[in-house]
Amino acid sequence: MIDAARDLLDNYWVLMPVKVLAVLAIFLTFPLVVGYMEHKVMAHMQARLGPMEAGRFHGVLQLVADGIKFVQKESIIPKAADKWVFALAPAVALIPAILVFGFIPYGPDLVPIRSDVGLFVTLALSSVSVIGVLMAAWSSANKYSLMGGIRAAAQLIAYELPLVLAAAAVAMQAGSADLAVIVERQGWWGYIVGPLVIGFFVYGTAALAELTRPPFDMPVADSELVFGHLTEYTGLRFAFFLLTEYAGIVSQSAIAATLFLGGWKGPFLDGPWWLAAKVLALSFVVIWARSTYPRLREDQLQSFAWLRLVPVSLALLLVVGFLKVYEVGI
Amino acid sequence: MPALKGVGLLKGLGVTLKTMTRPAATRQYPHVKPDLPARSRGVIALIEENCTVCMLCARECPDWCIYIDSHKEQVAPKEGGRARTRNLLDRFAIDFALCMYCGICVEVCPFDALHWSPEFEYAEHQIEKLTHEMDTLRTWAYSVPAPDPLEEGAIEPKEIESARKAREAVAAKAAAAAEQARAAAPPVPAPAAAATQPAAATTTGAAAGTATTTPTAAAPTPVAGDAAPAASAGAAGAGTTTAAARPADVEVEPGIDQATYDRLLAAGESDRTARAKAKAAYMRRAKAEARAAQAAGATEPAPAPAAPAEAAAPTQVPAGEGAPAAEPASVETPAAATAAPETAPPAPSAVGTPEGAEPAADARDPDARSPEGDPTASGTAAEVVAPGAAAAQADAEHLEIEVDQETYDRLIEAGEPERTARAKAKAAYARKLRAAQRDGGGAGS
Ligand code: SF4
Ligand code: SF4
Repeated sequence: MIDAARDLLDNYWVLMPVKVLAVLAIFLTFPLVVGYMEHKVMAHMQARLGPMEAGRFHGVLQLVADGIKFVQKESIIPKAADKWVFALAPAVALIPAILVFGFIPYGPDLVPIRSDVGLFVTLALSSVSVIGVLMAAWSSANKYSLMGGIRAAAQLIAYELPLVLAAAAVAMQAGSADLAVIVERQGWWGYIVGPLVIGFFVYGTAALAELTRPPFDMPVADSELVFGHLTEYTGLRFAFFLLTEYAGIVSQSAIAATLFLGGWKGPFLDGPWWLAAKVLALSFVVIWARSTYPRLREDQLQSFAWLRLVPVSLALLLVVGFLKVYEVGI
Repeated sequence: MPALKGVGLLKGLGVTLKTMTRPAATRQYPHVKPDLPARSRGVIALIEENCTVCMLCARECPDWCIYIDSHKEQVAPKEGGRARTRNLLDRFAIDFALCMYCGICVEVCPFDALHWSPEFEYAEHQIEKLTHEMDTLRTWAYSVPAPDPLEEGAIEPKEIESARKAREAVAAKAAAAAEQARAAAPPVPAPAAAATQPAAATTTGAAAGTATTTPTAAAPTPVAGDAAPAASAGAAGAGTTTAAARPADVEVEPGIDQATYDRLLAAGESDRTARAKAKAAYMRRAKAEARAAQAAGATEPAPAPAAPAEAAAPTQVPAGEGAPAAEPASVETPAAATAAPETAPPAPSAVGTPEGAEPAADARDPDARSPEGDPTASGTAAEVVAPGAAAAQADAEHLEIEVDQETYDRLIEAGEPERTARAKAKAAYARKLRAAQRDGGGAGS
């Protein structure tokens, strides 16, 4: 029976849909969970209760209700907008965010798409989303949208560097860019015990900025730019952008957990649940930062990236390389 | 410790984390009713029974959002007199779409008809539904909270004070009546003794709320009380006293003289009038009987005019000569002076008005008081006949009494105030006049 199942799964055409469905399931559940968590955690951090009605118990179905609402809304495309680009932008932002989930190792043998350069593929994919943002910004024919999009692009360029440098330090330490190998070479305590803890903070900060999450949310700064590149979006397309944001939180948390926190490894009973727990914990931190810190100014944001994070991550790379060459174990 | 750079960031995280673990401040309103502060201003409630349609609220409302309609109604007179009109409220509505909750209407209402109710859930989908009528405003009045208790040592509000006093007066009266009844029981036959209490009760009932529960308070009521003040005034003059500072008169259980009643009805009087007159007749008779009964048990006669019936030193003066046969019984009166100043003037009947005014002076000055015996005597005589006659006689006497100029001058010279001097002079004159009458006409019975 089990052998039969194994044989069946060896068939590419059977395996592929299963993988796709599994990834889609993850994609559809985790961002919603994180979204709900954001509602509740933020509310309680502000001494509120957050959603309490939808789904009877503490508003558990709030995001489902929101989804239904978004579907019902009229989808408006501005007259001056570049219609095709405008319509495609959400998809361009969303699809790479989904694809990232395919490269994450969920367990010892649970890697939907294994690649020698998995680390860089995921980082590249998560950066593609900004193309969607730029498309949305440009096609909206709205100055606020455009400024938001440009800010997003500038922010991405600035923070991609420390992000990749921090990830490179990990790859250097692990001796591989294959995410599965990186996880295997870590203890369950991950790489944060050692000099790479600095890398973890650099990576975390840069990822937050890449996601344009507060306190790095200048591209959508509502007091200056209405809602940045999202200003003209309504209904389902707007929902897709929101979904992209939450999917981004989950995927960046997953990558960070994989690189620095030991991925699916745990003190006992290794498995995907450890990864899930770590992802949720990191998402919580993301939300925590959002409700704690005020938004930075655009120039502060840029100088922080170029004058602090980049030098620090370069130095980190140096240190890790030094330790590696002289075989001082971490 | 110098602040480390970046510590603030961690502190911020600490604050949010701490807040998260604390209970939220949110109130689940539709599920959980809010606990409103005391005296919340939710809506204006109307106690329509209190509203006299004075229109002050509607006029003062800055939004003019109070609508009042009323009509006038004739009210039948109580005991004679003319018919009155009064306003009846037909409509009282407040448009809460206009109302700005300034509370001026509540402040301005002189009759406590408007109040703040904490009720606040009266939102509507249509603006005209926000105009709420009298019945709704009335139901809101039920949720108006009781006023906060006053501070320690605060001045009692007038209405509460008078209510309390009335209560105390009733209690005191009942107690005194009981006392009196006990004291009077042995010599006095049943009706009179029994009468005291209920009569007292009824009087206070009528006068409840006012502080004047002294015997003569009954005087203004024409029928039932008629016999009483006359007798009391007479008694005051006669100066018969008991220890109790209490009603002057025999009091009898009210009843109706059936014969009179029938006769009057037959004569074509209205039922009300007939009943009233029959009652008066009954009372007169009953009192006369009671007095006669008491007279039988009365103690030692004393020369009324001579004895200065001083309030402080009660002398038993059954008005031996001064009063006619019926009178000497003249029952227990309080120290005459106690009742005097306010009470006497309204008593139109037996005593000549000057005496009515006099006792005030008397209380202070025994010289001025002795003469009352006489006019009283005649007054009491009159009283048995008819109240009207008594009044007339009093009037007549009043005309006769003038100021004794000699006394007046003397007193003014002695430094007495003009008022006192005049009063005493009058009393002196009355005294002289009476002495003259006695000498001349043998007024002593
Ligand atoms: S609260 Fe003010 S506005 Fe409202 S009815 Fe009274 S007086 Fe008028
Ligand atoms: S002020 Fe008071 S008594 Fe006068 S009409 Fe208004 S509610 Fe009635």
